[in-house]
Amino acid sequence: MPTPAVPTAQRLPAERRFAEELALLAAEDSQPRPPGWQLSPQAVRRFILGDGGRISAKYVGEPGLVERCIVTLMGQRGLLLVGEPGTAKSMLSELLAAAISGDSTLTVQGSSGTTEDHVRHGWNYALLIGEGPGRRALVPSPVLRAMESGRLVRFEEITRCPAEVQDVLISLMSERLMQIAELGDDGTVLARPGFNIVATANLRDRGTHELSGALKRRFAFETVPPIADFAAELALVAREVSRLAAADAVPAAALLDLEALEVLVTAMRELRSGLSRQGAALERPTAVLSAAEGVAVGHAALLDAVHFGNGRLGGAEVARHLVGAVLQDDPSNAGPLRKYLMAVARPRADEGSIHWRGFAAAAQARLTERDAA
Amino acid sequence: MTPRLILVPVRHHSPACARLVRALLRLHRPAAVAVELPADLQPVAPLLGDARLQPPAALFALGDAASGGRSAFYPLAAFSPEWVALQEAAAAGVTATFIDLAQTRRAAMAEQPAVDPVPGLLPVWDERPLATASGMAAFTAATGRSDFNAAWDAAVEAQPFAAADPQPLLDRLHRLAELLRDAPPMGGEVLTVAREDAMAEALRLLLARHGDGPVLAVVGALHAPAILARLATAGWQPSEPPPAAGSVTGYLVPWDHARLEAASGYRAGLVQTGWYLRSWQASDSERDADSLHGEARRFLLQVSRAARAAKLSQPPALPEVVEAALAARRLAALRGGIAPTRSDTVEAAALSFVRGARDPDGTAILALIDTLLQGEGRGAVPEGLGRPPLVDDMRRRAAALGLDLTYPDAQRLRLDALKTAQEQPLARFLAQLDLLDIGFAHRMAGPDLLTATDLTRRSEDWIWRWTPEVEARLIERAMLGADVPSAAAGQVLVSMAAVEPWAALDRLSALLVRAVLADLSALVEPLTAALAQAVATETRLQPLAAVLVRLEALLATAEALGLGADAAACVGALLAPVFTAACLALPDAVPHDDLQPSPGDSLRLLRRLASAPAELAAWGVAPLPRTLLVQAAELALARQPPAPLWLQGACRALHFAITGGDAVALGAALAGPLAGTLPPDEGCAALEGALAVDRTLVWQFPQIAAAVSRGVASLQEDAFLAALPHLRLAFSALTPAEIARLVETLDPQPHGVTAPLPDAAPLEAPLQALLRRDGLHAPEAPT
Repeated sequence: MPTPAVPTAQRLPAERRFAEELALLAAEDSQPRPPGWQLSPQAVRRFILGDGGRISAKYVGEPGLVERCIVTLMGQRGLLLVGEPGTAKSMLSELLAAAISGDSTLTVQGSSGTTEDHVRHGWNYALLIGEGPGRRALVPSPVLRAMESGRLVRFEEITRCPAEVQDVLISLMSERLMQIAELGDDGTVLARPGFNIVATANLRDRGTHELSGALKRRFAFETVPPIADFAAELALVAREVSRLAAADAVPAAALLDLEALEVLVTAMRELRSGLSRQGAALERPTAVLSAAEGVAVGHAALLDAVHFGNGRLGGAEVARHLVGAVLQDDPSNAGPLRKYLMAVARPRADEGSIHWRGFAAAAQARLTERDAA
Repeated sequence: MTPRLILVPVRHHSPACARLVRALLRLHRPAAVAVELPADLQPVAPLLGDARLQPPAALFALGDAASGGRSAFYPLAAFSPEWVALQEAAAAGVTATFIDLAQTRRAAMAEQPAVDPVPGLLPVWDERPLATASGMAAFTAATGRSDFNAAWDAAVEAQPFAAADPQPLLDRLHRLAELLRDAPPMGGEVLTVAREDAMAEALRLLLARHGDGPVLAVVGALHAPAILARLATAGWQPSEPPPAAGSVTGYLVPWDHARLEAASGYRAGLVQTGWYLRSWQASDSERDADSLHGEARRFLLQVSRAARAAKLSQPPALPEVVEAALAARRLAALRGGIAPTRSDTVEAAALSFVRGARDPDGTAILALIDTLLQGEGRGAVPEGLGRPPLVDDMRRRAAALGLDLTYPDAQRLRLDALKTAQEQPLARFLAQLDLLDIGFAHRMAGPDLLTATDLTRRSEDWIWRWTPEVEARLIERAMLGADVPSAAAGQVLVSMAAVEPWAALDRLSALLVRAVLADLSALVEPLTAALAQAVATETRLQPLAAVLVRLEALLATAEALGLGADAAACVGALLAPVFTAACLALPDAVPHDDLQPSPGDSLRLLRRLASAPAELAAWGVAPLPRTLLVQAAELALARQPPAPLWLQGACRALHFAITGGDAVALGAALAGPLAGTLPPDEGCAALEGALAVDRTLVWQFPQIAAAVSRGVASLQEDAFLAALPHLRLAFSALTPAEIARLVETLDPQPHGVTAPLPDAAPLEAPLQALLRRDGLHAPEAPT
């Protein structure tokens, strides 16, 4: 049996994944480009939203939102994408950085452990002791690198950083310069044209740090909503699961069954919105059931089917992985899921849908197993 | 070369279309001007061209009964192309021709669905297909805009316009209209075809009459391609128009910008009318890219100023306004536009002014932007200009009485119940308008003669509001009379004629009260005569008692109301026949809970009227026959099959109250059913009926109280618990003071433990010792 080629990276950044599209856009781009930008605003828009032809649609959602994001990044304020987890905020920021700067890897990952050094700079202490403070001893942060090179820097989960770390950004975003006192007269780093910040923050995260009023004023907020259109969400989940499956070298025989994915997306949307397709009001679990979560569940279910099942994705595999996603660490989520099975999934199974039948039976079995444990 | 026909496809409230029409009229100086308004409203055309008319105003078409009584509004703003056409044509000495199918012919169109949820209150123009037709949906998608209105703004409103060269915009409108060819016909296929036939035929006649023309026609974009196709077809003949029925009269009504909003339900309405009003006010003829950008800048500055005026904690500062203006410009450029549209500007404002996703100030700014974009202001129709005399009379009277009808909002008014000389005419005026049912004023509180409630209140509160709908309803009443009192009197006569026999007493007595309140004393005699006739055929106690309630209230307040002696005599004379009819209806009275007055109230009223000869004499009414009431009660008690227990109890109490009698026997009669085996509700019914008529019985007569007490005490625990809710209901008629007196009647012992109980004696000494040890003992009584 031939061994599939091992990819060089688990996941490539957007500018490498879509390098051909970016090259095509750059070649065809006749519109003026803002200083420091790799593409014109129109080409950035086309890269993200697609053109129905050679450029694929990468973000599914309101075009107006993408346009506002692009326009914000042309100005002096940073862009803060907020929204529920899994609404593709990080993906959108990655696409923006890839299209505008040709580099989406300048990223600060916000966490409770993020320090001022992660935002400003650190030192190579061996060189610092050996040579004294100088450019060689300086370890620039992604922010500093972005300023020096006129690119976008991404700041993920900014509200997870302590307030004092967040506030480092205030002077940096207003003055557009960073002072490195240790470097003396050479210590003023001016941001080159093209520099800006794209930050993301989750609305549902607990233990986050509210942004200060001063920092809020330096960001334009854009709320990224869950995907409103069912068909668009289904297409997105199907596309992403296929892409992951291809990366996992899943045999071509295990072709995706759209009907099984439809069960997955339907169930997730109904539980998320608290409303069935027939208009019945449903109790909502606290778990985040985003499109991204749908991709993760769909991917896991597909691998389950390929390695431990009959090789084809069905409602039963979907249910086995969805139950975990819904329950998470909150036992109270079992209630809404049980009611959903009773009021929505079983009637659909009784109507003769094979996938809903598999879904209802496997979900019930998984819940029973869990109760026994 | 100027074509013979210049057909302008428009949206009914589009500033860009209005500029285009103005430019075309000034450029081509047409021999005739045609607009899409019903042909039978043509007499109003000169009025709509009157320069004194202040937009927005609506053309209100009022059909007579023969035309099906249909009414319709056609609102026109300063930035409506039809308005511009009418005004420009009048200024040029040309009377515009109304070319749409006559209103009177539309009533015959059976296919036309009744689309109005509130017929006649919503304007008739309908532009929904602009947003929904597949061609337009494709156009919206192609512009990359989120909805049709945004796409229209980008393609039409936010485009530069040179008055000297209007052709590019005209061509663009024709191309957009072409996209509507597959639009579903509004109001039905047959009506749409008939309207388009009528418009095409009218234009053909105009073209024939004016030789080389040119003729300029302003029609909705929905109809333009169909009209042009008909005119271009050689030998085209219109289908036979539907028959006309009745006649229609056009009036002018002031309108307001808020009613041009789509959110008000208007199907050709705009989103954020204020933006278009600003656009028109900024320039009604020319626009270049700079002025378009200026519009966005001015609006953003205005938001900033309004935020300061509203004292928001962090109003947008100048740098933020600049940033927002830049963002608006960039959004427009990114979306392929020349200048920011309404939605670009609003989005840019939200982007730059809102700090934080859930920031309270941000929410306040968004609300402020929304408020600024709501259309404000209303038009005015000068006196005598297309207004029926009734409207002018109403306005004159309102002004004389101090009601300022220019207020757009609801106003409050408080009148003294014993009205002063100044307030009496105002109260009568409001009552007359109330009779006209035009929705002008509503009484919120105060003495109510219809239900005889709150008669002791010292003041009455009204809320009034003058709206275009009120004026339109007033116009609908114009045929009733030339002034408010005569129209109100006419309305009473119309209502009298339409009274349904089954509700005659209620309707006629209500009309009587309202006519008296409205000072229409000439109507009192015919109304009381009609009432007397209706009373003679009524055999139910409740409707008769309801009339008595109103008559009593009228007589009691006759002096304050200024009711003349003759009118008061008419009302007084009606009391005796109604009382007699009520007594005759008493034996067959049916206990009920849901109608007012209740049976208990009715019987108490009869007893009161029969026992108050002095009061009646003060009203000039002869004493009512008490014996008749006693006989009615006796009849009710003697009837077979027996009357319901409630009525039996009530009649026994009534008899006892008027004639006196054996309290022990009454007590036994009331307590008897309690102790028997009847279901608990029936068991308590006699007591409940008696207390409903006279609640003093149980505490004024110890024998009755004792009998009832014994009856209750004889109940087993289960039966007592079952009867308890009904007993509570029966005794709910008593006031707390009366209940206290009842308790004293039943148990003259003072309440509370004042002496140690014998069984507690062994405990008393140790208890006292403990209290003393803990310092809690009562001070020793002085000996």
